[in-house]
Amino acid sequence: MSGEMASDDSDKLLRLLSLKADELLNDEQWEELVALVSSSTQARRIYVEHMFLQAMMHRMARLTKASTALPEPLGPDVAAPREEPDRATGPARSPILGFLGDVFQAGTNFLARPPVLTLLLAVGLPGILFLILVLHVARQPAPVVPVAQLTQTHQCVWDKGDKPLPVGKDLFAGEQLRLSEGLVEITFDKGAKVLLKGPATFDASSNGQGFLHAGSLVANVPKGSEGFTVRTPNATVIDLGTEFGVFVEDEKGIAEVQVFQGNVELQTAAQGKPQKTSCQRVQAGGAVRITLVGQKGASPVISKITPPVNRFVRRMPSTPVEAIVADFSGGEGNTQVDQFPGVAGSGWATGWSVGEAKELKCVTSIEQDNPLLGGGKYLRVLVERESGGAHASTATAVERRLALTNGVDLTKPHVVSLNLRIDVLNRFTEAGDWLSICSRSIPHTELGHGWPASSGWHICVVGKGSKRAKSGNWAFLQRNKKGHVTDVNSGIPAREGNTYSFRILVDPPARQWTPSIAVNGGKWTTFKPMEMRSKGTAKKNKYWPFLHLYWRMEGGNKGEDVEKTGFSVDSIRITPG
Amino acid sequence: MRELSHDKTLPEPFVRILLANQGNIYAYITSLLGDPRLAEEVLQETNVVLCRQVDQFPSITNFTAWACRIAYFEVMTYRKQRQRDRHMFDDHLLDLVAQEANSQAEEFEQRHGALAECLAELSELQRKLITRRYGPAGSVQAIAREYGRSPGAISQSLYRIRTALLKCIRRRLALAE
Repeated sequence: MSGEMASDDSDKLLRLLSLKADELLNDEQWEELVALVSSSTQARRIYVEHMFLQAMMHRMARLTKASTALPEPLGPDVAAPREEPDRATGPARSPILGFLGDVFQAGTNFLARPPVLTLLLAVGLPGILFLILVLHVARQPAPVVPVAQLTQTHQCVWDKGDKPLPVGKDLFAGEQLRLSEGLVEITFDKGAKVLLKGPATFDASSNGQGFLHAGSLVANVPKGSEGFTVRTPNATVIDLGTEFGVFVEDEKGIAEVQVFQGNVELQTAAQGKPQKTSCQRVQAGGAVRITLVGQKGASPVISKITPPVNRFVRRMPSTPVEAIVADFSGGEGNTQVDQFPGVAGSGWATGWSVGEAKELKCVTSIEQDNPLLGGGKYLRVLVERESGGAHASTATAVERRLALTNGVDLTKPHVVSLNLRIDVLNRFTEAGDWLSICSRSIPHTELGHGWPASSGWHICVVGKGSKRAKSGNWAFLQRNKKGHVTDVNSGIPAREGNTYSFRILVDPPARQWTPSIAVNGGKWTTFKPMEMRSKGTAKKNKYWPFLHLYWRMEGGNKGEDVEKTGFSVDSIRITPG
Repeated sequence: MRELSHDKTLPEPFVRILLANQGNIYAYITSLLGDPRLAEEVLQETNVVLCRQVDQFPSITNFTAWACRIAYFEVMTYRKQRQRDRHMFDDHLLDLVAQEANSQAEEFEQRHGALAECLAELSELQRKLITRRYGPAGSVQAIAREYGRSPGAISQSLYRIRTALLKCIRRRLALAE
């Protein structure tokens, strides 16, 4: 058992513990929880912290109940729940007062003395504070819970300064999306789907309502979710079982509504006079424009218009992303997918990240001179290590996480291809000098010491000082049927100035990968199928979602040359197999 | 329920320290059983045993450790009686958890104080949800019905709140060191 755990495992443990606390844990999840708690001292620390939190919260609630005569600590504006048996907070007696009751029964009269009563008050005080807390918060509106989820994205560019939002993100009431380009699909908890087209600004206000500040959307409301509402600065569109589009020109609120199926109710109110509301029904095939005329306080004017032809996008492009690409054509930046470091989208779950390591100086840049095999812009990485450092071997990586199914389905066979040119391999002479391209189950930030065998497919070259088969040549790392990691020598030397094209057919369910290499655009050499390097099924390894370029430097004696590894990467492409 | 001997008089210092330690003994037992509700039953039994063994009190130098040791045996007894219960750790893992729980029980009061401060750091809406969960009839299903939400959505929110509380408690304990 180890002392530390990966942060993914830590998150998973916290989720399982929370499910347990809510009595929603099934048997399979219990087994997972046991495995995690068994795995490390850190996991047990988290487990006990969580249990102490449960105990403290229960104890506070119990003390509150025991120290007051109020049967319900909730305010009148919160609907009183129906009485029902509740395992978690059922009618068991207070552990404190129950115990004291036993003591009283035992005839210990001193408990009635003032000092003991003072003690009882002291013990009850936290409960009283808890009661105050409960009464205070009971007057507040509904709790913060997700009201919708981001379910699809297509070529999204988010407003400058906004963090890219991944598919699957929960959206909370009032959370604002500011989309510059692209399409996102938002699925509300009640079932309505909104397809938002950038540029647009939109809030998911509740599980049945959104606010469109600017831009266009199409709402598709399935049967049973009728009443879904889209508000704009000057109008409210209430669904009556339909599909409709709403466009808002800007914050002034000039808007258009087009109904594709069913019908909607359109409500408008005079500016500053919400009580002066007018309603109008718009039928399928109809469209209206809402404009503001006259002084402040005038009612918006609704006029019928010819339905615009291309105003709205009603469907997310149905063809899945045919290839996940990184060819750095966008140059440097963090607003577009194909930049470096770039942002999430088009099959990438994140932008690129560059690790840091002691005694290593890593410089990344996007270059366009001297392209690889006639391509355009490319990523150049130069790593240096001064001689005489304290660490024998140190390593770091450039990596990017792939979205498993939001693009090419990485849980199924697929092909990874890329071009890599070796620019510098200075003093690449020791067994601890490595340059690798691989897929990994965990990010480099969680690799810790020793860089455990968490890679799936793994191609590398190791310093010529190594006696291993891969010394100086490109080699493949795999786990053989006996469970040992072995090297397969490609026989192709890794030389400065050469551009190597790699093509890897990856078959996650079979835990196999088949590499091919071509040198300087020449003939391809395909090798026998290899086994994935890390243990466990593809699912257990999360389908190795990280594309990982990493290097390790052994270091040298003081006075020797600076150790340098430089390489350039381009034309990364992942396609269905 | 085992009964106390009716002719035994408990010394006031013992009662004082026993009351002061109710929270950490309860939390310790909860860690071992994984269920605050079951822990209440075992706490009752543990209190009775502690009262019975009051004669040892003058020689006890670490009351919390002593009480946790007795609680541990009470948990083992309880487990034997409830062998068919699902979701119980095996003896080896229970020992490992008990070691960790022992050390955290020593700093229970600091944790408790930190929790009060951390609850105050939550947004009002988050406080409402978490206190509702631990209040009367506070099952996730009941809350979900009350707010017209799915139990999964409520559970997800509770997960976030608990995680925030744990992080906050850790941060405050670290600052206090």
